[in-house]
Amino acid sequence: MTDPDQLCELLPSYLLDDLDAEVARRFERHLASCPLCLVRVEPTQELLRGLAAANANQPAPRRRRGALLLVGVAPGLLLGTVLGVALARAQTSTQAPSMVLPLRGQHLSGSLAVYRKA
Amino acid sequence: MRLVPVLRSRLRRLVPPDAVDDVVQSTIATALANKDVLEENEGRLLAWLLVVGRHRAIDWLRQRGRRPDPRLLALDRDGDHAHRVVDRVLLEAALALLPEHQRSVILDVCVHGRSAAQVAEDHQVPVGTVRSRLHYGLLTLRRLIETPNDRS
Repeated sequence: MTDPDQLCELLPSYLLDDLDAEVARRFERHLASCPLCLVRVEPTQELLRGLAAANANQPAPRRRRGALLLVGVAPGLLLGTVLGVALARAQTSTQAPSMVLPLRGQHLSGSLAVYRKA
Repeated sequence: MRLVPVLRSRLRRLVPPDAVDDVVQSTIATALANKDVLEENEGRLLAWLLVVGRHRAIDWLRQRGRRPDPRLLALDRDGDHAHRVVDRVLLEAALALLPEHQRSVILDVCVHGRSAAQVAEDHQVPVGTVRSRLHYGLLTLRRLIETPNDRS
């Protein structure tokens, strides 16, 4: 566990208070010398808040993985559009969004449905 | 140290007023234990103090039987940053792009609040693998939703 890269991987777990005390102390020492981890704290917390809020906004009854309600087509299309924008922003490649969208569409229902997982 | 008042004022948002001194003290004790490393990186001391202080605040609350949700506890800067939450639609769209092994870990841990150890047991993988997937999954998620300043 002395590999700095491996210690960087503990940042989300540290922020989530999901480390043993001893490992947490080791991470704190690492944090003192790793600018990358420090810079990532705020965006990571922002993401964690967003993800927690996503759950809070969709209080679903307890369901098993197989018994999920799938989402309608319209939200899927909306997501696809947003996705195209997100992708175009996120990737510096020359790939056109139109080539990306159909590929990504396959995963849409999965991601939304899984929010309903208990 | 002029940084302590800043730390103190941020911690007031997380713990009761009479607990602030305890948490500050515990944070500074940790800083002293890491004095050697921190001295080499003095410019980052405040940022470090705030992250560790937040952790000590969570410890304090937990030790007293309060169960803070660490996903929501933030020591934000004042003003516009205070309640910034990533746009949910963008977040869901970006989640859909992640490889399944990363997405499922993020949903289990960050959305449903399970521990890495529980998830590791479910998936029969080492807990380090879960932490690693969490880390790289969140990094990718971040890249996907990042908004450039100009939308040309």
